[in-house]
Amino acid sequence: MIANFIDGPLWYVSLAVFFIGVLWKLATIVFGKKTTDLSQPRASAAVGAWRTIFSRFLPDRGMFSEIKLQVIAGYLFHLGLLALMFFAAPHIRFLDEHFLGFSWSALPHWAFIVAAQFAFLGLILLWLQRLLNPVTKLISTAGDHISTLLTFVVMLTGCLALLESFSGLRLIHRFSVEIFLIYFPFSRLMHAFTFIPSRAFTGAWFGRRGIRS
Amino acid sequence: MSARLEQGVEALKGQIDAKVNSFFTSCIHCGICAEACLFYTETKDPRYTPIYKTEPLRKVWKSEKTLLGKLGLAKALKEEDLADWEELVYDGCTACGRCSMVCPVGIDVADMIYRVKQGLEASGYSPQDLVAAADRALEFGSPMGDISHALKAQVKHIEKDTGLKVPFDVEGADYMVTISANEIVTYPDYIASLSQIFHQAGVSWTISSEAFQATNAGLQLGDNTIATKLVQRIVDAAEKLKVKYVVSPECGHAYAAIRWNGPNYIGRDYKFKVLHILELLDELYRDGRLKTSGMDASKLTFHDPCQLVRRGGVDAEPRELLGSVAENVIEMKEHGKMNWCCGGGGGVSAIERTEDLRVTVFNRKKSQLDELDVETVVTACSNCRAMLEDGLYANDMDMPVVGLTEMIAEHLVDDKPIPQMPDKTSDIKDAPSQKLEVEDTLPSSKVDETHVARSDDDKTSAEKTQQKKNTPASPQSLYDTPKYHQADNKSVDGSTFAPDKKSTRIDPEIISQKQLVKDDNLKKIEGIGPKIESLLKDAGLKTFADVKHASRDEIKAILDEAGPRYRMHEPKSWPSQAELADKGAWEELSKLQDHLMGGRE
Repeated sequence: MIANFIDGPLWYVSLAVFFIGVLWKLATIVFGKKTTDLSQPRASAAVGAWRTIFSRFLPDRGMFSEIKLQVIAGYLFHLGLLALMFFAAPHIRFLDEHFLGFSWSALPHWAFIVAAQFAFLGLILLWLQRLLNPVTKLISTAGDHISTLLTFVVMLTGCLALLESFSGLRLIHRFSVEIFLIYFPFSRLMHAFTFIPSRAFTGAWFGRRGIRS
Repeated sequence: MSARLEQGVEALKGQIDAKVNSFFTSCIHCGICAEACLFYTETKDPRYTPIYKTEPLRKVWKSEKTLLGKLGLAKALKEEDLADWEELVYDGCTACGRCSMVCPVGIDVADMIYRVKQGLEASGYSPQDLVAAADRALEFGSPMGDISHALKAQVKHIEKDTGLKVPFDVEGADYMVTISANEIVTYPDYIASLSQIFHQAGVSWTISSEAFQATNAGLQLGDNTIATKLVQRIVDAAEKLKVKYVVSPECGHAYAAIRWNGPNYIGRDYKFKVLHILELLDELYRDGRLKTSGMDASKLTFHDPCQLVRRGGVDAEPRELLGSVAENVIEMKEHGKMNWCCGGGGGVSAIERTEDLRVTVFNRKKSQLDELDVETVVTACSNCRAMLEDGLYANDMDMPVVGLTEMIAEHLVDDKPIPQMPDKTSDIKDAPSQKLEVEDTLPSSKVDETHVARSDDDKTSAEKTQQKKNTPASPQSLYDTPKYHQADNKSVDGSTFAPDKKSTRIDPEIISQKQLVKDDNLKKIEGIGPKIESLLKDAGLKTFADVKHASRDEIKAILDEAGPRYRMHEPKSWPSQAELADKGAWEELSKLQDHLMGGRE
């Protein structure tokens, strides 16, 4: 019965909360209160916005030595997670059957293991940094820890399910994903989407002043 | 909820828009912004982490814009928070915006901190020093009080020394120049330099006696009502005089206030354009109207004022101008849009209690300068200049700080005759308030004739010949191509900006003389800049001992001979300053210089 609930109603509820929540949140940003800058621009705001959306994928070179842990761990985690999400064979099969109607090549087993190790290593390093570094310790909120913990659980149960250590793990993984999806729109996990308008706002501000940010 | 808290919360609620919503939703609390902030890097106090300074705004945002807040489960902003954050935000942030350049999710943290300031100011949690400065600016026109008398005195000196009239309230002039209070009181040579440069370049300009002061204490305080009133004064004056351009002074935040924030304050675009003085000088230089001669050979670097470069976009202009008069410019490792702040911007320098903190955070600039081993720092903001001087003094660093406009003026080519001054020069009456009253302001036609120099094409051949004769043998003759071209000199960390060496022809005799004689750095003497130092050394006054033994009249004769641009300088205090420098009595010299104004007694 619990299995039916997790595979059935809870799955659809979590998807609905996720999609409606994310769209609602993005709408509050896209259609939210904005002020028009009346000063004469020196250069194009739009060009600045597009530039910054992409330029911030790379850290400032001069600061790299001070922030290398966040940068390297951040890339390990995000790239590893993306690989697991979109190139693990069960995920491709799931997306094909339930949403997309087409599939693509999955990662070979060894690559999956490497991606998982990258993702775990990155996440654990970032979490340790959050807990131990005086700056991140001060500025982190309960929400940051909950987001990290949920992501960790989703990844862990996912890997265990894939390795098929026991059959109930698939159900546990799905349940953790559902909790993750429900929590997502109300948390900073939203940065996965809102980093784009954030960078665009700042890039436009700098862009109209003729500054490459 | 107390009335103060309510006012603060309401003001902060008013700051929440799509941008703030996006920023707070995106912030992952990675702490990278801390490493970009000199208050954190130099103190290692995590409270100075830029995003942490926005905490009052985040709390209000969370209450207003998140599910937890809607359910009443978010922590509400308390009055203690406002009290705690006052010092953190006003004392521990210069609004330099370096944090905004490094945030991986693109948050403009500096903008958010400015929004917090508005909440703090609305609730009455703002530093008394800044409040008083803003009040003085509203009442008297300047954060320093009524400085119209100081301007009057400076203008009289300048007109007497340069032979050039400083034009006030000239309707229809092309450019209305604004000045910072600091330039009037501490760096008056700036105004003289403008007068000389504009004369040579044939610029039609004026100063408004109703709005000559450009700094904006309202912006520093976070009070948009005051900021708007101060901008409105300049706008009204500019539109009354029907000028085409308003020129912002060598002051970073004044530029931000009038150029970028101003139209948003007053709710409309201007009927004129705004240029920073360096943008105008660069335009004149590129048009060939600003002609310089000679290259400063000393090792120097440029300190980028944050509001001008990182937040204002005036980055290439100072480098091009500096490259036109200096051949040994070395960039700091982090320069341009990533330069480190002087530690006193954004109103921090106006808050007395920040003195120790400013000295601490200046360590970052000190390290940058130590790496370069330069002799001089050039900058283009009077506040940066004062902060650099304070920081260098506090660290026993023996290094003059020079304003770029003044440096350009020292290298002007003498190819324009000084017009006959009218019997009565700009006679500014004693002003009871902020408004300067100018007596005998010349009618526009006369001003145009007197002050707007004609272009070379307009001159008669006799004038041109005379001009050629009058032009002293200047160091320009040593160079075939003295101008620096940005495109040819790429900005590389620690690299030297220099004109194309292949195209320079330097007199070998002069090189050998320079190598053999061990000179003193005469720029330690207040009133002596790079060009005058070179004049004195060419005349044989190479050391402090030489200058201390020279009489005032002997030095004056050297200046007079060098041309009208140098006649304005009064060297009376130079021998006594040189005597102290020669003895190594730097503290006494500094005390003496505190009583001098641009080297004058």
